[in-house]
Amino acid sequence: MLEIRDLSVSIDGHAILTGLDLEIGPGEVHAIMGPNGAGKSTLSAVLAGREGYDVEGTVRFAGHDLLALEPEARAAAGVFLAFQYPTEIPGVGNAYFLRTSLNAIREANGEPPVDARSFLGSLRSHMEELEMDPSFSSRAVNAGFSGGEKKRNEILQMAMLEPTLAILDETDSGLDIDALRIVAAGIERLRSPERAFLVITHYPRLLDLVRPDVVHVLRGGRIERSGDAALAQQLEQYGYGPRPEPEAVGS
Amino acid sequence: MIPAAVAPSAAVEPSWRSDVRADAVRWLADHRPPTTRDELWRYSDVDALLEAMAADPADDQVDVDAPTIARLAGDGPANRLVLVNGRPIADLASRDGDTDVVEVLSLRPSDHRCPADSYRDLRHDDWFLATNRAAAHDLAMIKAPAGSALGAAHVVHVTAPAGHRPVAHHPTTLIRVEAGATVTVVESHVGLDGAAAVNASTTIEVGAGATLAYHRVEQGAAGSAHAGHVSVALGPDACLRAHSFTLGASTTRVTWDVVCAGDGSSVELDGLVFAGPSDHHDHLVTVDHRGSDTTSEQRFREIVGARARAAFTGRVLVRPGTTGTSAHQRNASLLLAPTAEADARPWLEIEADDVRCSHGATVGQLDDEAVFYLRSRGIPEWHARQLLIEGFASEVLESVDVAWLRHHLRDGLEQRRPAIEAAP
Amino acid sequence: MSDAIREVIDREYEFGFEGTFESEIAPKGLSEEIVRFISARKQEPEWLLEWRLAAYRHFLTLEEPTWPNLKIPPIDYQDMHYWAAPKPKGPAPKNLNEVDPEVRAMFDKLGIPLSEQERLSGVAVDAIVDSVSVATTFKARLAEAGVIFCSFSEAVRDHPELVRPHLGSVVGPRDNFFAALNAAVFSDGSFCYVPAGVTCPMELSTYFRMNAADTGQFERTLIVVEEGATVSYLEGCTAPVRDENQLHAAVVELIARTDAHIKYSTVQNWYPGDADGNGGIFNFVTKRGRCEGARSKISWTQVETGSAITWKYPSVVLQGDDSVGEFYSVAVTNAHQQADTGTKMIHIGRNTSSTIVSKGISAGRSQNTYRGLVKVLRAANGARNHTQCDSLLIGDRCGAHTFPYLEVKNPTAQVEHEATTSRVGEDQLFYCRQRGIDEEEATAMIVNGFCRDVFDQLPMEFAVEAQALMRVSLEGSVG
Repeated sequence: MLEIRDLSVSIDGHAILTGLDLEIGPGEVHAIMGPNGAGKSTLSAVLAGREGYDVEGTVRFAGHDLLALEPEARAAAGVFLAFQYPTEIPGVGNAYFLRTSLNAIREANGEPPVDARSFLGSLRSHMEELEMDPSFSSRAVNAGFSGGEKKRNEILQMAMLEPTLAILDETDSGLDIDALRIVAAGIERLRSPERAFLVITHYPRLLDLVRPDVVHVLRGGRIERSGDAALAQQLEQYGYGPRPEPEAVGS
Repeated sequence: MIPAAVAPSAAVEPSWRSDVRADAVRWLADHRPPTTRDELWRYSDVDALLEAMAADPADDQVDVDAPTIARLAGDGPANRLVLVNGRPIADLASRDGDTDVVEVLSLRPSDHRCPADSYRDLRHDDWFLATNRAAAHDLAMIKAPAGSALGAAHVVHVTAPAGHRPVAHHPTTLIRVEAGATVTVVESHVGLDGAAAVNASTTIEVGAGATLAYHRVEQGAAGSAHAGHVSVALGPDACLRAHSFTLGASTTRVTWDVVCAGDGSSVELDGLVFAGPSDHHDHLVTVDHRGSDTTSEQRFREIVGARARAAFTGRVLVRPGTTGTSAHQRNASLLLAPTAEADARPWLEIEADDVRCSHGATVGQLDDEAVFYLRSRGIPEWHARQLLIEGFASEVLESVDVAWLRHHLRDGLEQRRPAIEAAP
Repeated sequence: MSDAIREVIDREYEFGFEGTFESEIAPKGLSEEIVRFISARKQEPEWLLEWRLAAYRHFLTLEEPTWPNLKIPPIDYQDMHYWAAPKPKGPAPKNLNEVDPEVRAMFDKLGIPLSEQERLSGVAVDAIVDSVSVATTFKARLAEAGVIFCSFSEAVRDHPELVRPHLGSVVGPRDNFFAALNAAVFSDGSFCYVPAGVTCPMELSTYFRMNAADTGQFERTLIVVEEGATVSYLEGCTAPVRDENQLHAAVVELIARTDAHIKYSTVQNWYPGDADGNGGIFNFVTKRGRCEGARSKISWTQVETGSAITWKYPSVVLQGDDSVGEFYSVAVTNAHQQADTGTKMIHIGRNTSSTIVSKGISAGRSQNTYRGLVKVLRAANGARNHTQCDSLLIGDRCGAHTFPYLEVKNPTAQVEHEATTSRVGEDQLFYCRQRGIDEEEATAMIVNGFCRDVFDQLPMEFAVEAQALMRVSLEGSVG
């Protein structure tokens, strides 16, 4: 589904990713961990199409040359990024925003717009699942939200837009234990054989709640090692540690 | 109207100096003094300033001793230059071994060195500035050589009326910080008792990558009038950390003209204005963003007593073709009496789109809630008010890194504060 | 990026057609004769003619203001008509059905049907073409409530006792250059009187249309709201596309007595000139309200998208204790448009409060200026003002300027001013695009959100129009 080959990214001549390879199949949940500054957020930004990076390599996604697409075309193709720092858009209501987004994606895929009633119905039920206050839908997008509210809003949008690839960029950061549980449950509900997840995180605690199929360590601009869920536990116990010798790289 | 004091010794002057003077005199011949109908002088007590300026030039025959200077201007480790009525007093100068890197000197009108191009080339657009240049005597000059660090200089301009005769005085300071240098300069304007008009000008150049911490302190005698003009040109990546204190004279107008000419230059300017009973203070700050990736922060505070008036106009200009500008400006006026007045004009003039600019202004009195809170903790009302006024001022004072100056300013405020609260 | 953004703000001027009815036009030029001609044409009483002549004589001593941040090409006051009116095809219409069908057709095309059954069924409209009022709807229903709503000419004729004491009492004939000009040559306008205790049963609206070429429009609006009464008033304007500049110099006076409330909303969409800055309306308007009585309230809301040059400062004089003044403004400039607009809040009474929310959007090569004065006089104990003044820049060849003046002479006042200037955030755009919304739509959405606080103040009919003007459809919005 997602196939990243030899991806190198730099910004103003400063290399961040250097030849990263990654493959994610449908229904799989991959976690990317790594120390601060390893390039985790850069990877998510590049996949979503943020400007300002020098990018080399190829990224295939569901038959598309992803890097050639505009950000909105990537969204229409099914790529969703839950932002680490969701942007505030003063004066624009959450529900209005989300409906515009949903209909733009549907239109790009040749589908008719959703009618107001079914949109509202599905919005309401997703909000209930995420334990969000009903007043939330008329507040402006992320404006004046607490960190936890913003993150929950990202999960709400993901639930409504039903992407085929969801990239979660440090969605767990800044969440207290209850919010983390709600957010994790939200992600678990969306797991399906057609949908893939790329979970970027700093801490393994989210991975206790959302069990990944594969865990990667991003370090030095590329995937340094990969393993199953146990790797996350290992990292928690021993940290990222000194850069291991090549022969020490795990399975 | 051309001031009485022009060309003290034109005959012996080198041509660069007499040209500056002649230019200024020509300009003055074509221009009238400002009035409150001129937009940028709308809130000034121009009449009082002009009337004071009409006094005779300050005399050079006045004795001042070192303890007096220390009392008026503070005393700390720095290369110090003291000028009384525009004449350097060698006995009062001091050198600090640790900060010997900075050159501090006084240029006689007969001196052949042209100290700074920016002084010679400064465009006139201000009547008081032109008058200063026509009438200035010695120029106090501070020069931090390229790459030098840890320099500290203190220039003290003393206005000393002789007997009961009012005087007009035109102190002039040039500060030149060469590429990569780091220096701290304190410029004090103080006065002995007696009627006086001070018309000061300071010209500052900060070279590429250089940093200047500059503290301008106005602590003239009560009843005196003070017009001040500071013009600053910042080179690429140059940095100005400035303070403006107006604490002494009764009528002031202080103009700051800061040009962020070089890309990446930045300025931070904090101001504190103390308008005691019947004082009238007006400050105009212009920050002109001509380079790209420039930043400015202005924060001014005014404390205004009975029958006093304090005005602040802050202008932020962002020129076409620049990018990455960040400019912020805040002004707060504290009115302490029913007859106190404040005017604020926080202006933004933006001609480029890659900007983040903001300004804010507030006018109000001491917070009743806060006074009540302190009283409920057993502090008498007068004391509660004092503490709150102190708190308002101390945010500016605390940002002064020069410890001796901070203490001196605190003492100065301490002495003046009772007056402001005692007045009806 | 620039293309998409330009799309959002750019719009064809939809109202640029010319009505096809015949007009009667006075010869060009400004003189005492023209002042007399206008007064005679309107069969005015002697006192009004004298009032006009005094204003005209004073006008001759004045010069155009130079302080605004505007580049105004020289205006030849002798090279325009001061009177133009659709030519009557017989005796004056006795009811709406008798209005010239060509005039009706023009208003239909403008979306303002002069019929009481149509779209704007909840709004009474006074329709003004060039110098005269051509129709006022719903007069009968308003009269039942005791509300007088008619053209200024009719008011002078039928209610001189209400007009004479109030005319010029808020904006005097000597107030400024354009106010003096208006006082001398004003031709028509709307008059509204709401008696004590009456809440006006419907929105009142004046629709201004400049149709004839080379003609200035100088209307006057006077609204008097008595004790405890309430009215909401709307104003819209359009003009045909012409290569020459046309002058519009109106005066609006509002008087609110004790506990009276006036809400005055404007959607100004005069022809702004073409992309190269040719043609367009010079909109030099003096609007002021007096909160005369205690607890009275005057609220100005304006959406200014049109005109080549706008010069206006809807103001409130807060005389009554506890009175309230509000100013909500969106000003959009594009291409070569210039706007210098804002407000004055003069606090005189005790515990008076004012709120200013200004949103300026500059695009193209336009210049957009906010200019505002908050003045607290000595006696205004407990006065409060909060000002929020934000500018958004789209493109790097336009300008956004903010010139607030705060003058406070009372220590118990609390005056707060906040302002920001920035461009449409790249982070915001990227966020929207990641959610599948293209750049054009995203920009429109962000700009509209930026203006939200002001649009929320508009009556429903106008809010829709205003948002359409901003090229964003919020239809079906659930937000």
